[in-house]
Amino acid sequence: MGVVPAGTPPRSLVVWVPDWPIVATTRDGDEPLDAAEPIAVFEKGAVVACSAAARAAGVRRRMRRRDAQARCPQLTVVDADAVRDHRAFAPLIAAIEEVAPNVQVMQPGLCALRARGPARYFGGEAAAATVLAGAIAALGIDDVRVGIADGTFTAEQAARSGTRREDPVRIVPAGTAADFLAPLPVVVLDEELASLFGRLGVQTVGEVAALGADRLVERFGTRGHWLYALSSGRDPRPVTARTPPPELHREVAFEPPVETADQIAFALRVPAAEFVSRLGAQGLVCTELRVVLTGDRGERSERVWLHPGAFDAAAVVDRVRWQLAEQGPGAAKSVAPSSRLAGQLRSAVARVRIEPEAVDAAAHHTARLFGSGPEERVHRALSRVQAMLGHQGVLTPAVGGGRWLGERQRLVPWGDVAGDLQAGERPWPGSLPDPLPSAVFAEPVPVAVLDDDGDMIAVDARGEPTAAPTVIELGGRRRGIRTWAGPWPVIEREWDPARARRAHRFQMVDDAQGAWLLVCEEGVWQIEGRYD
Amino acid sequence: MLSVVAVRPPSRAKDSEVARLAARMREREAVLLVQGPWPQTEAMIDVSDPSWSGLGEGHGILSGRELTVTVTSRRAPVPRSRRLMLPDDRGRLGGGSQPARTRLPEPLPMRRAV
Repeated sequence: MGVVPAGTPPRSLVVWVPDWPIVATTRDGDEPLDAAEPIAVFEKGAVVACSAAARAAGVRRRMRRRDAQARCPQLTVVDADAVRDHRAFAPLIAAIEEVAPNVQVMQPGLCALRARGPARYFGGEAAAATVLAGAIAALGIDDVRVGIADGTFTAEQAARSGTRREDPVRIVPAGTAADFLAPLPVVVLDEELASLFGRLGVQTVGEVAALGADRLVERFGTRGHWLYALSSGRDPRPVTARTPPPELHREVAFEPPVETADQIAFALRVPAAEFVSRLGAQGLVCTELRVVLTGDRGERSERVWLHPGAFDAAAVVDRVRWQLAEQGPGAAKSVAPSSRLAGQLRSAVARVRIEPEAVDAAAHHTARLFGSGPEERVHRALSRVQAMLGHQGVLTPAVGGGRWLGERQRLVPWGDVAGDLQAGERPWPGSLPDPLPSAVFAEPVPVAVLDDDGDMIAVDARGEPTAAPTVIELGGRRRGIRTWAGPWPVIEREWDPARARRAHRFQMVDDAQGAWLLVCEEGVWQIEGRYD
Repeated sequence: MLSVVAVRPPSRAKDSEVARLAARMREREAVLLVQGPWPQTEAMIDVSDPSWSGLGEGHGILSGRELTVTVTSRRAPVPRSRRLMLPDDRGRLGGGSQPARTRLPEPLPMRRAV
């Protein structure tokens, strides 16, 4: 047959980590799961992988969610996420590539290499397998299996079916691939055709191979060639090694650690320029930058910085400088809660790492031939002022979400994205209708609202004012009230004691035709806004 | 496209700064809006005599404000004044005291629950 090569395929080495989707959930994210807990990863409502504890409770692959939860009520249900699996697997590939180059990632948790090189280098296939398993185990993965055989398919089956936890390496000697595969169930060959083969009375891989290439082709067409090649241990696929992705991050270590921001910024100038030019060589620009500062005592400060356009070298250095400025004692308070800052530095800086969090094609960010008008000019002017004054020095207004005017009025540092853009457009029942006050006090101003007898007004349990307000006393000055309206109750988040508010709003116009928006909350009066 | 720069100086600006800013504005063909006193302005807008409407004794809602807008400019040194609605009941700038404007009837006080 022309498609099936006559000779035996090259020796292949396959490294397999069982239950990789589960291992990935225990190694990824800020709060990884505990591997000892019963965990199951579901795709389309069926189990694709489960942890040892879940398996002990009776959870199996392809089981439906409600069946799995019935067998193991404390099961942690995780949705399948191919990106998470790949992300968690990346450090393992890097570790393997440290030991032996040219790795093919077949799927997360499973990768193949050509066995010849490592076997010669480490002095034997068994030694190479042990070294690779050791490299993975050094990353804290206690169950890793290695199979070596003729062709990747046979090697994969050797790793999957021929190993145990206590005996993690299986080497199928050259030329015996067909003998090794023969007793395996036919499902390893093709899950789709397994039931058909079963109905035909063909139960093992060996029986498939015994059918012969001609009969398989007659029944299955070109797929028959493929089935025959796999089942007879002559997998025609070579190992196609991946190209390692370029390293785009830059790291600068300080020995001894330095304290002053100026020194750090100066030392970062060249690495920042390299960082930008390395991205540029790939035709990319950085639009989101992650800066990680590591202190002398091992504490970390990590933050993602945004840029209205794309980062150039000076902007990168500025962001590092601003992040250092936020580290001082008491500085944490001035940082807006929206900023994505994690951790505080308490000692001198030992290491600075800059990495691109998001990149964009450079073609989207080149200057236009005839200039891009005022927007470009505004952008340049504001970025320059921000470089002089610091990140919080240039603020742009945005409409936030909330019933209180103070929540709706938000100032966002230039270049940052206002957290939840849609929140401002939601209906917010109970918020104030137009016209809105032109001055809103970020810090509510205390005020006294009195009736004819000089008593403070309050709102009773039925939502009625105790008397008609006649005087506002603000900062020692009394103003008579000409007209007023209210109270309008604003009762929100009663389910959350920490954020619940129960207050009443009033609009009042004083003698001098100044209009005020006042809030009475538990008998205390405050000015929310002024119409002027 | 017109560039507008709005400023509220905390104190009186120095003459040299004013001249520099004026030169830059001319170069960029931009408009400077200042709140507060400023020398050599093209025009000054002043508002006075506000009067809010819509509120009653415990009922209603602020709906509009009438005020007198006075404009003094270099080209027309005689101040011109007009009563305008700012904002009107749709939250926008409305024309002066217009008799023909259809007004909703004044809201009646809601009867209190007994």
